[in-house]
Amino acid sequence: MENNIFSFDRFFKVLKYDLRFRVLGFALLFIVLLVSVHLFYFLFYNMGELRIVARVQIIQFLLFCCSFIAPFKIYKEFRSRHGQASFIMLPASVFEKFASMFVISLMLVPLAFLLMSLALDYFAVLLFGNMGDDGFFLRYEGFISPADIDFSLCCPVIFTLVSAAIFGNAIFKKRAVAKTMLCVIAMAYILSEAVTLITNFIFWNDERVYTGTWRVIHEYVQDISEKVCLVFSVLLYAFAYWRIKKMRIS
Amino acid sequence: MISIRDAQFSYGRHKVFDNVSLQLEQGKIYGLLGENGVGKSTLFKILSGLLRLHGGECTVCSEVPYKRNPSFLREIYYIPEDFAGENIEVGRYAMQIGKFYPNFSPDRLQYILSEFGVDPNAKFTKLSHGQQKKAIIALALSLRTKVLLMDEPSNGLDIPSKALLRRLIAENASDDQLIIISTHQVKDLENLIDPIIIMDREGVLLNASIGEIAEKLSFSVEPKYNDRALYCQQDLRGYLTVKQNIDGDETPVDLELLFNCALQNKALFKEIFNKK
Repeated sequence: MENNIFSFDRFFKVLKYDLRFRVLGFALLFIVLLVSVHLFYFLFYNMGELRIVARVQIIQFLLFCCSFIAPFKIYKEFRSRHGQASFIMLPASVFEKFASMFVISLMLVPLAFLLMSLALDYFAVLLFGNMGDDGFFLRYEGFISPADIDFSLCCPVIFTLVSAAIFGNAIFKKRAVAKTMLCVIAMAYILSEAVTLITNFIFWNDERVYTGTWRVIHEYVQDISEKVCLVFSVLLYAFAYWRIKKMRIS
Repeated sequence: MISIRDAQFSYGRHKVFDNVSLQLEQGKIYGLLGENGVGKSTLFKILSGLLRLHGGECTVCSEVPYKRNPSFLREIYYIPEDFAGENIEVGRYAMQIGKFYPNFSPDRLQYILSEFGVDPNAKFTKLSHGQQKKAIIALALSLRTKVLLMDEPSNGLDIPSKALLRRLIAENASDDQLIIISTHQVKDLENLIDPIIIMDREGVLLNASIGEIAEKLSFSVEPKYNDRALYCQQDLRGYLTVKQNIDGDETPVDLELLFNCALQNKALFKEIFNKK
């Protein structure tokens, strides 16, 4: 009996089919943005030095933006009736289609952008690297190494952003990006208030509050926030999967 | 191959089907006729798994469409009336889609595209509506699925292309394939579609082959209005008339007249063509 739930052969066909939208080209758009930022520094920050920390932060910020917008762009078919029909009628299971969406949005796009941006930065440093006092172009502090990138921050943030994007793309038809962003901001506020209330409740009569051991509370809040974020993201992925499975066309 | 029993479906409070039953066999090209809003497109969407029945049963190739199993989806292809292509080359799109269908024939695709005069290297978005239609029809015929649903395929095609469409469908339909073509332009697809299904708001009025229709009804042009005919319509040639075939002489079936006659004589049609 045929396996109608998951087959690697069908999954890779779906993956290749989804990549027809030139994922690398999409990531390249954000590389253009990155180049624009460097040009900005070149034009208005003459004789200055671009430090690694600053460059990493710019790359991380654009990485988050790229990861968030990618599902809306690559899977824009969800927002049209015909696109939904094409998606549904593709001979693959919902699980295979969702897995492809997951791999492309969460792994391929961020990885493509990260590698291209690091490569761009590497060549920029090679060309315009710190020439000491003789440097007349923009100076770069040095090469960015993987250790400079805070993956413990990037990975959970991208996981959450992509979950919101996939869910928002499946739910909203018009102005999906803007509506999803507003929902993300609203949920972030609600969740942060909830975490604050829980923390206040737990530490209400805790002596550590009066002795000033804020670090313990800070670590506790951070731990709780990460867990809440993770659970919330998983729920969003689950809701998105359910929504895609039950999609109907009128 | 397709079995629909006591199907019920509605959009909110608007009832589309109520206890509709239909049995369709492979190896035939069915013509699906009906007024606007009777549910032809809805029926296609139910058969292809895009919508779920609210009551009754529907099976296609022994599978429930709404489950959307890959084993079912690769045996069916649906061309909607309002097809809109993506920003991708026709040939490239077809080759990527074709990988999902075991009986896809790239040679047949190339042949049909060249017959239609569609460049496989052109992007869908750069083609006119009619050319996009031709491209997707070419793809549909080359996939060689067991069930092919075409919603108004001749809409938007120029006159020579309509004749070409008839020829290509007839050439490429296989004995184990079931094709259903929904159309208002019956003249475009006459001599191709057989059997004929006529739907109205209450269900299926007619599901019969051209031969069966010719046995039971006669179509003629008469000099005067015949008030005993089932249907009579004035024309430049005289009065186009539909009567019950009492003499047993078979006349060519005029699908347009048949349709108008069916709408005016619903109860009689159900009685004449009722199959138990």
